[in-house]
Amino acid sequence: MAKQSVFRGLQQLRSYLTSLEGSNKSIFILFTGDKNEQDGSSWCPDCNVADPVIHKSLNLLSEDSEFITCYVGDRPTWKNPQNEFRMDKDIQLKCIPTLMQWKKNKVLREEQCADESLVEMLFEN
Amino acid sequence: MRLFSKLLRHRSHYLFQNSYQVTLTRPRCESLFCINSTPFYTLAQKSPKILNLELNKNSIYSISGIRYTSNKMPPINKSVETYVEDLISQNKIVVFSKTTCPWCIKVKALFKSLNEDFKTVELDELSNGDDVKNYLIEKTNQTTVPNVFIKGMHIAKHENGAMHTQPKKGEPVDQFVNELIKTSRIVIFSKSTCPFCAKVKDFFKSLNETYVSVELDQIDEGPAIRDYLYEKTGQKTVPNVYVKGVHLGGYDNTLKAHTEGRLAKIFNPEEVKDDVKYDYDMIVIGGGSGGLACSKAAAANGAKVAVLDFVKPTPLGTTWGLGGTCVNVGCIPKKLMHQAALLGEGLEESREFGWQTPEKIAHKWETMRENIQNYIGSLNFNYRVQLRDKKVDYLNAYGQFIDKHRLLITDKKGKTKEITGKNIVIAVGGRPKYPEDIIGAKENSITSDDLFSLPYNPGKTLCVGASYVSLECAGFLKGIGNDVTVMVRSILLRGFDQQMAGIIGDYMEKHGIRFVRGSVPTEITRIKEGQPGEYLVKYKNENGEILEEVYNTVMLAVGRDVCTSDLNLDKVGVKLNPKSKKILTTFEQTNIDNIYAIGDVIDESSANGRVLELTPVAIKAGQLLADRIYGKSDVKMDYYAVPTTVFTPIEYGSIGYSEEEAIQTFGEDNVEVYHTSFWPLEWTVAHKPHDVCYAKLICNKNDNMRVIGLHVAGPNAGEITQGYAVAFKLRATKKDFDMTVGIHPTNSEVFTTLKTTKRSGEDIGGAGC
Repeated sequence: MAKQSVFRGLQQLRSYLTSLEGSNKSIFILFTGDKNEQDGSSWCPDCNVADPVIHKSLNLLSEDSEFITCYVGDRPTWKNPQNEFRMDKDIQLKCIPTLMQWKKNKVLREEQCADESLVEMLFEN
Repeated sequence: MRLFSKLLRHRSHYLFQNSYQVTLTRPRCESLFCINSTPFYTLAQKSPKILNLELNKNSIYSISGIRYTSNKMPPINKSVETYVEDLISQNKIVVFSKTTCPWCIKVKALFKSLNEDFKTVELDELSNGDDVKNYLIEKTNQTTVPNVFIKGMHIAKHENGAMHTQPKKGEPVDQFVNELIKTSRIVIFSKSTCPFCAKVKDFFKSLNETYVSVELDQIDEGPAIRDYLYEKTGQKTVPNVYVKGVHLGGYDNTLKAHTEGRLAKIFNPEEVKDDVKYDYDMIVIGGGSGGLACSKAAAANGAKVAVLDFVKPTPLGTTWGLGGTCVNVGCIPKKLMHQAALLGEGLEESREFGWQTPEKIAHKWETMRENIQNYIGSLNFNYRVQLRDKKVDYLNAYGQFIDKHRLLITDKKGKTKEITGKNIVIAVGGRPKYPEDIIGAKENSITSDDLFSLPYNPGKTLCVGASYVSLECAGFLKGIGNDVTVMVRSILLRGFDQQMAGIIGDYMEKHGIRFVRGSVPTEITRIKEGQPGEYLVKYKNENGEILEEVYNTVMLAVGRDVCTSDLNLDKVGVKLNPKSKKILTTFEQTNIDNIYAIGDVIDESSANGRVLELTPVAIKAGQLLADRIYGKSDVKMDYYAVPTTVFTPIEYGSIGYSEEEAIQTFGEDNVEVYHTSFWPLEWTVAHKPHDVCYAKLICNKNDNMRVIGLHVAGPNAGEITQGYAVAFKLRATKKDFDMTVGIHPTNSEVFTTLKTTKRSGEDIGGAGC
């Protein structure tokens, strides 16, 4: 099982990624909508569908890989066209959920994240 | 009736008693139609009359004849509309006719000869015949008899074993065309003045086949039908022939279909057993550009599709993911490494533009390699995602034929399985050739299959061969700072325009790439392990002397072999070109009905010239093939005027004929070449040479100065060339180029201002604005 971490906002994520530089680890990042505290579900319905599918496949990741869950904010924060994740040159996030292998340009978007076979394909690659 | 036959036989004098109006639509009197049978001579005026007529096309004459007394039919108890509509919906064939009309008799005889039951309505025997006639005119836009309906569809006019037809009033042209080709044995979309249309009609007559023709120049819907046919078949010209719903094309293609036996197969198809269930509607062998495009297009048409892709490792063990040569070991990494080289050049030039670029700039192979390989990895991944999205099964296994529908597939672990497919598309492409006569070639050299993922900088490199692969690799390796030699047996870039090949070679030599000409390697020995190691290359020059030199890397690029040998094609009898081992195809179909081939692997007989081994050619052919197999369109691949670009240090773009091919095909006197050298604006400040970049247009003097070849050597040649390929599709002439306004300042604009012909021998030195 991969090492799992959770971040909120770009700055947290960036500083962690910087700390991993040069480690040659496979890094997978799930960008997803914030969850509410009551029932742990997100305001983003697609994220709720994808979440269990992705977590079910996490056991496919090797010991030395990293799995990062990154919350992009509440709905108004995400819908803002100037959202920091949308504007970041390396991330250029277009939609959530987005599951990507960092630096490898391998990306699954929206309903693709809820397709078990595609998630497995990404994790096994 | 006798009157009309007489009229056909004698040109000048006629003895008649009553009068009919006739119109002549053909110069040879063949289709003399009665358009208004109301006699305008009364019985009182029955004195014989002599007519002296000169018959002109499309003129209306009145001819007096013997009055016909008809036996009146009982009146119809229905409205005219219901009567006609009932007739044509309840009978397979209905002929609205007149008893006196010779063409009506002919058409009836035709149906009798075909053993077809048909219902005849003689308008001149009906009391309300005129009402029926008027309704038919309103319904069919046709004023004449015979007026024929087959399976409810309007056919019309009988002419010497053939019929004309046209859309009903208000009928959409797509519906008209599709119904017509579905219900008629032979359909010819034609123009009455077109000699090839006449030829193709004569051809079918010679086969004793009757056809239906649509004369586009004689009906209002002509242009609309022509446009629809272009959309449907990709063909703008007439004749445009369909036989039993199968699109044959123009006159030449129809004749070719006949000589190759395809036409006979269409007429008498083998009995197809439809009860056989296959695992897949289509299996594509080879997941390269062509195979992927074809499989996705087939799936989009609703077919169940599998793609087999298996990369046999190179002798060095290099292997790669889904996507084929272009993505993994061809166009994509090549262009990116070419870009790396251009950036290096740009850095040097940047100082002239004020940048304080450090004197010592160095390139790191590993960084370039990793970033490019990461990008390729993402493409491999995306292809797999796309196949999933389109519900295409991806099988990482290689396939071999057991029979024409059955494949044995073997995966990485050697596990085998059989799968069946209704249609099979071979898209296996090719791999670099290892010449048998170079000792140690396989062990001690690499090919382009290895170069792009090489973990280390190849160092001092020998590129063997004069192919574009060899020259492009030599170019970017030099561009990133390596010592590069190119060894060639004879000419550069065989098959390309040789003047342009010369420009590329000269520029590369001036760029510091060494050319060893007239030489071939005989032996490659490793003398030192390492990354890179050291290899001793022995080679024979044109005087037969054996020379030697040490390189870090030897890259062979002496051509490619198609991967047809392991497919067991002999088991199913697929015909190959014995020399090249390429699969012989016609419109991408092999000699076996259900087996097709696309991409580098084919030797295509429909192609005008050679089929260029290019990714976009395979993609286009694959998509069009899938659309044809699943009936979405009849558009065939057009292999003429495919643009291409060689990404050598000076880029070379071309479309159409090389100068040599043009002269060989059209004759030196009929070919005019306009040319110029040009100095790119960016090169001026950078102090780069002013007489290197070059552009020429090759024109056919016998065809209104049609531009048949375009060649350009200079920066961004690919970007220049692509747009002009559209002009070729539109069959642009030199005048069209001259009438085009350039974009200033660009290199591409030279093609709008070419004035100097090669024949004139005038100076082509660079001029200003």
